[in-house]
Amino acid sequence: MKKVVALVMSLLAVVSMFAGCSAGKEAVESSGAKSVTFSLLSSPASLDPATTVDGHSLMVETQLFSMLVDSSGGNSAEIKPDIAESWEISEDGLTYTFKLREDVYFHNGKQLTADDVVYTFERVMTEPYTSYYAVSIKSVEATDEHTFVAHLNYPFADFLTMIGGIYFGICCEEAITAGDDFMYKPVGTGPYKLEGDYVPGQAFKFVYNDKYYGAEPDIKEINFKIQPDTNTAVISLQNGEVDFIPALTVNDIETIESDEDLALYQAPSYTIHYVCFNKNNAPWNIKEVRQAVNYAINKQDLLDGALNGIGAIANAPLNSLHLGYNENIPFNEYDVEAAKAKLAEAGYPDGFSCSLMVNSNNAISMKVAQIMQNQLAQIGIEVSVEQLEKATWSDNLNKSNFEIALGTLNWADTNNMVTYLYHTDGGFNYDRVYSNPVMDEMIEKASQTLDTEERVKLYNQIVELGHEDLPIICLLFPNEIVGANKNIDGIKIVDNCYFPVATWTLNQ
Amino acid sequence: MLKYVSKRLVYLIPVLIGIVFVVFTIMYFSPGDPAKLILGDRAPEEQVEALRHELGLDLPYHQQLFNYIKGAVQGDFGDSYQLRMPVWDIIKLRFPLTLQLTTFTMLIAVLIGVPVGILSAVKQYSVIDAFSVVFALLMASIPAFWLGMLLMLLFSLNLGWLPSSGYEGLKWLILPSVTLGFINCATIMRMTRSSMLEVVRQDFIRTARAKGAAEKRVIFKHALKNAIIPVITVVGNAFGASLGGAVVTETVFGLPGMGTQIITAIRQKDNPVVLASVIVIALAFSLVNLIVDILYTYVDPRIRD
Repeated sequence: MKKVVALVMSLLAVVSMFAGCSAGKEAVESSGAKSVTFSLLSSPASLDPATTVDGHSLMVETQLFSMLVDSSGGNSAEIKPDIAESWEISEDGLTYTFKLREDVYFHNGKQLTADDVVYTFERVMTEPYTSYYAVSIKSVEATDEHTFVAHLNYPFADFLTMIGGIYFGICCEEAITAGDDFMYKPVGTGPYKLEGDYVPGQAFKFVYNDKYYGAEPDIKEINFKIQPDTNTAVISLQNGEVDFIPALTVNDIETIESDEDLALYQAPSYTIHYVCFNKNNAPWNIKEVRQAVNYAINKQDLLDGALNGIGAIANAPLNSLHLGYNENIPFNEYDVEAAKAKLAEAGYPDGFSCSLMVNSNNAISMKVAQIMQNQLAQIGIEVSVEQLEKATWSDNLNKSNFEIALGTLNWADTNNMVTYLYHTDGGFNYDRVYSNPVMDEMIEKASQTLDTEERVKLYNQIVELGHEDLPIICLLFPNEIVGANKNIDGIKIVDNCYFPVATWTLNQ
Repeated sequence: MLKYVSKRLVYLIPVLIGIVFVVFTIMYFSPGDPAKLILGDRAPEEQVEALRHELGLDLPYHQQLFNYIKGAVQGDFGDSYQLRMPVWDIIKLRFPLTLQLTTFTMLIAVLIGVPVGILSAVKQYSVIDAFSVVFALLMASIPAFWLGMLLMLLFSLNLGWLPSSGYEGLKWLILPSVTLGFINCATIMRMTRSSMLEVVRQDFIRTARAKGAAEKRVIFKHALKNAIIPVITVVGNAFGASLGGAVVTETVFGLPGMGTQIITAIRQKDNPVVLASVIVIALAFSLVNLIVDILYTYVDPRIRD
């Protein structure tokens, strides 16, 4: 027996040795200052805005960096000054001159100059993660210490909205060129700064940056916890271990609403769920077949079945939040007889069988696929649902290795949304199969039109043409659903869902 | 003994090379382009191509495999594609946590499983036996995530005694260790019971009793020593399996261990991380097996020859 005890004791000793060298430093100490704890589904891949692609990183970076202008109010809201206190736009719309605040300091104490802004913009223009966002920019320069000038390739209506996005968060040139690992040791000018080390996969902490030029936030500390399981996150929210969960699903609504200490926030999202066709091959290259599918889908059933009725039916890739939203396009064209007639017209009176490719990491798409399978069976299209891991699904889309597929796309600005889906060179127009010169011309013209009324008119026509040609079928816009502790005030689901904590207050 | 151990360690080398070959091949031929996953859907094709070149992903299969093995032999397992830091640093952060979790798990499983197993064999058809059989069956059939959730609901939400997720100290390991401990306990309990039942019916036990040995001595000295070998095998296997297979439990409890690391890396096609993790787990598994084999020789001197 003694031997057993000795063995157990020595095992414990060995294990606690390991305990010493592993985490442990993760412990989040509370200094008594007002603090909130975020629950994140996965660890941010980077804290550097120019080397980021995942949404988690963007939400975290929002707390650390500030931009030249504040466009967080959404498409229709007025652009407010931030680091730039004022700006002028040349008459041809090609030159923007920004006057920068002189009281802006980075987390490391260095004063911000126009050179940092130039460096940041040039980085965004060349880094592969972000260069896409900067195609409209021709060159940038600093004309004096606090004046920054951007020259554009063509007049770009969304320019200010774009540079108010977190990708254009102003970084400290010195911190990057010094060779420090900027991904994990970010230095910005935002209201919070990183405290301690950032270790991917582990909890981390931001504290108030006392050199911040803006109003002092009420909440002084933000803790971030990584919780890959949403059920666990909801339990932690209920027992107070976390205060805020940014991405909930419709299944969590009831739990949150029934707990009187918690608050639920909902707003329409910019994420479109749609069906795309591989138009390289028959029968999908036949417009009547795509129309038949459109008639066979009852979008109300999809909304009820996949989202418990919470969200919106899409009639186009634009919803009421987007510029150019067009209410005249029918939302739900469900009509089995019309669908059958279209199929017969296309030469498939008895239907056919095909596969529907779905990203198995997307719970909404998975449900939509099942319902669509039944709906399409009504007109004789036998659908087999092919569930694939995100990496494989996306690879297959890019290689046009599918028949029909469910996709999602998230853009707050109309220009990107329609370009991605409808332009010949659009990122999600796989293999450039859909190509309508009229469409391309209208999209290009709209992006360069500075008069808003004129732009809205163009976007209205673009989505009408999209509905006419039907390269994709738009299905749903799910809601953004956020759960939080009731004692936090000021939570808004803004434009891009980046949740600036500096605008919140905490009632204790 | 030393010769035996060193021989076993030498045998590890071809095993590891075989594992690297298989995992590398699977990752190479599975769809998904790591460069595209790193840069995102919106990156221009030329830049994706440039990254592919930088990472050596445009080389033919045999050359990539050769480069990897060449680096690995020199102790260079490469950098993680996603986290852009040496793979070894990631493993150093994650492995200790998984090892702790596994050790606590096995302690719980053995400390409950073996005594209860013995007891239910000695007192076959008693209340304790019935309880242990039902408990073992239940634990063997419950999925880890569900048991974890139930424990979390009870101890974190209703009673508020224990944290639900994350890792900030040993307190955070209690719920996951109990979850996995209970589940592993089932096999150990059943194995101990059936192995004991077989032994206590044998002649030498009857002889021991006949010569008047105390019941305690009969059970622990004579029976257990003979019954424990299959139990050690099961414990060893369970220990090894928990090292790599605690994925679900780690995910539910938000523990940044090897399991969550491997799953994330596979999704992102972060091949260097997948390969290094598998190598470490395979190595640990083999070492546990070696220890089990050495233990045999202590329990049963006959095996030494």
